[in-house]
Amino acid sequence: MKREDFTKNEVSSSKWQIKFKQIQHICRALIIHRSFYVSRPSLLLSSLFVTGIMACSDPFQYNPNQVILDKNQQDLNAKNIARIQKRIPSDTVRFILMGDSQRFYDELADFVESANQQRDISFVLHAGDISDFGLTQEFKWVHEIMQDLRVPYLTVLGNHDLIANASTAYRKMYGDFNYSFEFGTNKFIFINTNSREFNFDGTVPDLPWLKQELANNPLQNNAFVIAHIPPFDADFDPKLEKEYAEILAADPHVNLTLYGHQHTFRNGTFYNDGVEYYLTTSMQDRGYLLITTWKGGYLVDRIKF
Amino acid sequence: MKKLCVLYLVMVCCSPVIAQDNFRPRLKKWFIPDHSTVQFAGNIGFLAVGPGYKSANQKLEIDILLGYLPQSIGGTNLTTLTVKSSYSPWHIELNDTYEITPLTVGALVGYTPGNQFSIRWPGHYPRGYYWWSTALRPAAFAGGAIERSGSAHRKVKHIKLYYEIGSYDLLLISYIQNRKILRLSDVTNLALGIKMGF
Repeated sequence: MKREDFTKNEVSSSKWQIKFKQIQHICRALIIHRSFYVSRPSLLLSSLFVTGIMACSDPFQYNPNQVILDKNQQDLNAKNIARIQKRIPSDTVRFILMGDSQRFYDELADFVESANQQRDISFVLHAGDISDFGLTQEFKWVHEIMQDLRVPYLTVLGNHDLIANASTAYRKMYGDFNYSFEFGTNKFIFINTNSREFNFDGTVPDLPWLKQELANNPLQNNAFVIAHIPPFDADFDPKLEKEYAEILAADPHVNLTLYGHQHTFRNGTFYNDGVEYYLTTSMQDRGYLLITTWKGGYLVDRIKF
Repeated sequence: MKKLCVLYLVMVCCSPVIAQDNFRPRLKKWFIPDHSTVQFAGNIGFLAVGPGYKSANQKLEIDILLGYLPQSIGGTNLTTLTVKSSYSPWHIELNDTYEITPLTVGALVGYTPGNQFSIRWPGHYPRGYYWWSTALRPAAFAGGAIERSGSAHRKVKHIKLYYEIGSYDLLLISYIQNRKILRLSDVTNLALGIKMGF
């Protein structure tokens, strides 16, 4: 067909305008040259192919478990940390904790709208279960919606983000399962606590890594440990629960630790050790936590949207 | 796995030819395929090949396809075995050579083996923790085709080009629950293929 001519002549037009013109052209050709096509049916079919290809935005998929990502869909956590750290922090840092976006895209879009109305937010933390079925396609949909946020977002790994090829996709798209960064007088530590996905083999969560990260805090910043599954949940390795809680309690800079997974708001000092555990709810439940922190203190608000 | 794929491909492509040499058409054994299929995309591999069978009235076709997606394209190596059935209620003859199939509807099940996939979830998950299987993927599609019939003396007697627009269970569920954000084009994809009849 004459696809090339169109793309050459109308480089300035938007992609969709070009597509529309192409479809229009094909339809017109089909009507005018009906007799032509009847004698050359392969042409009819090829024009149907072209129309079909243009109707889909991402027409060809090779496997539900394929991990095909554009450059700008890769290494997002590192890129977003760089964006966050470019800004000069004030004494008070405010951020959002949301999570469990799994298969709730309509609600996630409403969340973005609500989050964009909050004032003085530095970033959004996704508490995990970005995807539901562990498909790369789901990560892409979530990223597309989250890109409308006015601030960068960071993620922690959820149990659903380990299903099938999701662990490969997560690594490629977001980065390491355990990582940390500092902003203002705060250190944020993200850790994989999805023990059941690793058959409770004693390696998840990686407690030596956690200890090391907490120890490496020379400026004595507030330390926030963020994970998907809270230690008192049945999906957290019961052999590691006590030690995990003790590590947090032993560090004087850990006052608040953040989770998702249970699809409901919860908070409390569950181990009576001074560390307050906060769980955010799912997108389906249309809620998130708004957290304000300053040196030695914090405030947590539950927001419904 | 690659060697296995190549062996399968050779077997599939040769089987109808061998069949022709050894059997007269009328006496064709049931397991000898009616055609060979090569499909591009459609969530069963980058390319999938395999034998196909046709019902007596030409309306129902069953294809058994082995698909492969190399890491260079898919980010990860994936092999998929697919059983696919297509139903085409109408065939329109344009002239002696060309025939159009305006509508084909069908369903398939793809099996993708691998350590990270399972048909049943391992024992360390409580029952019903995850409800779907990661190794088996049911899908449905609709499409059309055009067929060219050559002379009876030729080895390849029919060549059929087809297209299919399809989706699978997990995407359809996502679409149904998110009608505001997801469009039908977000959850459907295109497949193209050739069927060669012998």
